[in-house]
Amino acid sequence: MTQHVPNVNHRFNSLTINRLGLWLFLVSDASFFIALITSRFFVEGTSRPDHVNQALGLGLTVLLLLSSLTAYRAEAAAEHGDRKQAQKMLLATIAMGVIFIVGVAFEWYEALQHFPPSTGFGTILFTLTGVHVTHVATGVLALGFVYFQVRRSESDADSQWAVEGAVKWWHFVDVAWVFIYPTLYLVG
Amino acid sequence: MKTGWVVIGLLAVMTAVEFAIAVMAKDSLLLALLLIIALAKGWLIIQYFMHFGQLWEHVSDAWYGMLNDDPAADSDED
Amino acid sequence: MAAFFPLVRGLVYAAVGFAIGAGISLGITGLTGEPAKEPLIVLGYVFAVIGWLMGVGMWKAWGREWFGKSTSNNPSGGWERYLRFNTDHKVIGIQYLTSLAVVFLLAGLLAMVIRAELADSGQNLLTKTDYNTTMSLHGIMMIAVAVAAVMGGFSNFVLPLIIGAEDVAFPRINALSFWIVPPVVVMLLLSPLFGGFDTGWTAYPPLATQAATGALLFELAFLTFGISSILGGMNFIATIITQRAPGMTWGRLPIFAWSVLAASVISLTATQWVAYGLLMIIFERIFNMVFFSPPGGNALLYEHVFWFYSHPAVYIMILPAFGAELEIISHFARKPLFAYRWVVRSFALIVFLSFIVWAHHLFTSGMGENLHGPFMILTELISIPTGIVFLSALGTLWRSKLRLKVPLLFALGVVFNFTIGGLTGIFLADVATDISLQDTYFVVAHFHYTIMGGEIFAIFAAGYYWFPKITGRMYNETLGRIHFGLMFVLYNITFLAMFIPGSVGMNRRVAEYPPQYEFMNLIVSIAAFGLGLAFLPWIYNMLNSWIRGEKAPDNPWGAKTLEWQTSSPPPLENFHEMPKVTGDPYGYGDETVIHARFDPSTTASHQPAPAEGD
Repeated sequence: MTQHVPNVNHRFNSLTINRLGLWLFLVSDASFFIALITSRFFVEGTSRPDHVNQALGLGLTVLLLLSSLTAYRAEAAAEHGDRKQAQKMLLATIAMGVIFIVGVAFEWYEALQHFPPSTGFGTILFTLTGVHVTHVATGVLALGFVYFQVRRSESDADSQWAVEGAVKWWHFVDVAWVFIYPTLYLVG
Repeated sequence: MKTGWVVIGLLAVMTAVEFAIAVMAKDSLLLALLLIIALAKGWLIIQYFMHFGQLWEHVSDAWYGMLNDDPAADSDED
Repeated sequence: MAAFFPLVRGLVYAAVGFAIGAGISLGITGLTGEPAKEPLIVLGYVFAVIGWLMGVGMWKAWGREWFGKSTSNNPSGGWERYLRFNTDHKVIGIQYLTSLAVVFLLAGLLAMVIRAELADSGQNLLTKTDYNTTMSLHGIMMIAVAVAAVMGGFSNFVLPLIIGAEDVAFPRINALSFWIVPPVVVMLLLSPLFGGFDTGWTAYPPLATQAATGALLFELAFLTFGISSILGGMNFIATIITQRAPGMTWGRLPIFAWSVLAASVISLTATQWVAYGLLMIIFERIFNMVFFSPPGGNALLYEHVFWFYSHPAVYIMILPAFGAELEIISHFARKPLFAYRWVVRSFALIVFLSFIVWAHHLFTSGMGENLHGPFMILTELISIPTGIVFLSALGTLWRSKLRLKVPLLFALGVVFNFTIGGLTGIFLADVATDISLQDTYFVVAHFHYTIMGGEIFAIFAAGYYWFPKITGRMYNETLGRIHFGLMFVLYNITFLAMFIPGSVGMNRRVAEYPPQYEFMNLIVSIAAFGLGLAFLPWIYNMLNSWIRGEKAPDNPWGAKTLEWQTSSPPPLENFHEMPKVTGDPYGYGDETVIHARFDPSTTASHQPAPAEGD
């Protein structure tokens, strides 16, 4: 974060300020997901059609949770200066993210036949997964930028916040899915 | 490194439990159980993967003097 | 001419962005069937906004970093620094204030059109759709001014100064939050060309999902404005927590900073709800989803989600207004702010309560009747913390020797007007009276008393108060008094008279009304035209004083807060020497209380040290 004037207040370094800012934004974004999930119960109650693809839902959940582990390890590796390992783990996370997006695309393809957007459940399913997969896509994009930054960077300090920020964002996407998964697949 | 594996293990177990009770339990009880499990899973990720506490320990001195103005705060500042 | 280069580049990039987005949309919809107009607008708009942002300077100051290239950012310069992506919070504050002044005057002209139509009971000037579009545009543009003038304009300029910071925590996000406002205004002004939107600024479905394409432009504009509001809220919270000068403990934080913090909490969390409401309408329009239409959907969902934001949003507007009002009253009464701690607690309580009162907007919407009682009581509870804020103002004024300058006149106007606004609010919070008063001009008069009488008066108070600091020049006191006198009297005639047709049942949002209400409406219209003219001395005063006014001293009001302890206008880094806060900002009448000292050792320019060093 380049600022045009030196920071006189030494009580907070830029890393702490960045963390605080990101957390505040996550709080804000979390309220968006709360609104989304609330609307599912408002519109559809707890009813769930039979055609929901349970295997796919469980698979997507496992995939995203696993990607959180690799993201965590990427952050830990970057912190300890192991940039080779960090790159490897970032790539693994990105790969799982891309597979997740493909999985959602397949889910949409199926859902179009059973519950199109013009039905109550379809409305909820497409909105929830759509908003979430947009977050996943931005996460993949961010991790991609960070991957190249780690590869380019001369020292570890250069990319520390970049890695940490992108990884926190990725975990947040995961937390959102932790709540979306039961809302869509298990309730009812 | 080890924390990561423990957490992912717990998350896996909870997901399995979640799925299992969705097959067995019914309506209002199910809703409550699912909410509890989701909250626990979310907390695990927030606490251990996102290092929520780390933010708190850095920012905690920001709350200093919110409720009381300690005159001593002036002398030892900056 | 080179000064306009970033703006021109922004427009060119926006056009390119729109072409790309429209092309993608045409490709997708063309493949699956008939090319559709609304998805094209949505996708084109998204890309156009990104292009616009990059063009005005975000690419140079920020975007290059993502690709590992160096960024350049020059916040200084002459007047051309206002015309590009600039991270200086003072520049951003002035950008906000000047552009919102234009929006305010445009929306005011729309109000004149509305009053011209309503002067007579028949339908004579406008078609009914045009009338509704005029009314809706007036509403949303004034809401935008009401939110952004305090949270974008004054907060940006004053907050870092008043807490002794050099800038906000995230200067580039701050610049971003301003530069996505111009697309909002453009979309709103374009919407009449696309059939307008006759939904009102609340845009309830199912009308909003069936209205002309203009409604879609409105939804996109509102959504973009929400992003600006969220980013601003995040930035101010982080700024207040991390950027305070040494010694600026929470108990010494000026009340304006507290009010901005409280409002930021609301704009950070509540705004997401209206974003979701607008998104649902856009989805229903372009994907035929069924959030609101049966079977499955429920139109009440929108009202819940919408008011879950829009009720707290009135506190985004009014809290910083209260903060500025108390600030001004304390400095002009030369007395410590009465019950400072209780005001802070009241702000916290208002924030909390504001989240659990939204359903009082739904008393007549078919919401479950068992919810009426609780929401009525919760709503009326808000009068307790608001009352404490009033007691603080009155307690500060009590037995003080007032300096009746223009800022204080406007601040006293806030106290008077908001009292009427608050008292009439009780009838609307009460279920029994609300059922007959809802959707009448009583409601219109009430919220104009709270928002215009409360907040807009406070904005003018703040405008006159900080004018010397912002511009480095003094305004003309006589013209300011004329402006206040005209505005206060005509404003009160306009809206007091509006209560009368409202309480006997004249509906809002109609171009044509029963002739028995004609007399009162004529009075309202004549007073409203006078009120419109009352802003002419203000416009002249501001422009003339900014260009030709006499140079302002650093601290024309003798106030103790930090923004007055630096030069007018402040230098790029805000303070020539680093401030160190040592006492209460409102310690008037006690010479031993010194709010801040300046440490000359923190800068290269060694000026004589102040006598009272520690």
